[in-house]
Amino acid sequence: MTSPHPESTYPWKAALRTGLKTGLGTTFRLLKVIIPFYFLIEWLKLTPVLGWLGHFLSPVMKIWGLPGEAGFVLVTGNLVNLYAAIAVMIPLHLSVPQITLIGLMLGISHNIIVETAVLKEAHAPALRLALLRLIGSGLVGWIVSKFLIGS
Amino acid sequence: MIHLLTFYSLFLHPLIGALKLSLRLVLIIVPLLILFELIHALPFWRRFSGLENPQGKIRQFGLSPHTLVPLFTGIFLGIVYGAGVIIRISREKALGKTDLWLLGLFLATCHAVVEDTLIFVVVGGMGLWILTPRILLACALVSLLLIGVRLRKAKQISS
Repeated sequence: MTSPHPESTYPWKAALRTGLKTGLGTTFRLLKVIIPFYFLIEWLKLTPVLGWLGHFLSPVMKIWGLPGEAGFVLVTGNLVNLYAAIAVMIPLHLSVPQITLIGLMLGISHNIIVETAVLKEAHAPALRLALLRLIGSGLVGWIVSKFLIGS
Repeated sequence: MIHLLTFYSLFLHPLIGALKLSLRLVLIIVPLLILFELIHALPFWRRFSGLENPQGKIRQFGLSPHTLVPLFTGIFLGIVYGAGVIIRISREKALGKTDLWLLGLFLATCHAVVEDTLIFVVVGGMGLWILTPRILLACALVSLLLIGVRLRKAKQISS
């Protein structure tokens, strides 16, 4: 595949061609795993499931010094994405430390479904990593909440 | 009318979103991998990254130098783009199990640091408190992994 070229000339044409080919191929591979989950999540948003999970989580939100409604924000961020979570968070009128804490926790673990699928496609140990993210998010959030919010 | 609305929210709306997403991925990943190939072909880069010498590892840690490019791509652009570079590199079968664990641990917890932090800063969050603990967690997880790898190696040598 690589055309013979002298060591001194820089094979930019071959690089362009390979880059275009691998770029399109890689994008296609990623989209193949992302798109089904994208649809799944869009449909999930139309069901009451996110609301149920938020309700389920709201009693434990005080572990992080957050109001019960923050459960909806965390569920949305983890199952959908950060933009959807922010849309849920804004009407709650939370304090600056609370917004910061949610930003940290969701920064560590968000969009878990799609990102786990992507990591799996890259042959990383995706499911164990997803679990570590959720644990890390809760643990680091708990430690930082002691500084930001107090108890 | 109801049917039309249901059709829109069930299929059309997600489809438009999926198409936009696809377009964004193509527009970022294709130039990214073209740039990757262009840099990859540089004689300087081949020497620096140890490509000329497949056994060349970042010795202390037992990691492949190939981890660096996907690592930084992921940290700044995001996990999907980092994964794109990982998929490209795995064509060369240069990434071992430890490399994939390292990339996974760091990128799963700490990626797209600029975008993820800024969107919360925009709505009132404190950027340093959002970013610093995240980086510390990623570094802690990677350190644990590397300590584990070293211990296992020491065990193998002694036994």
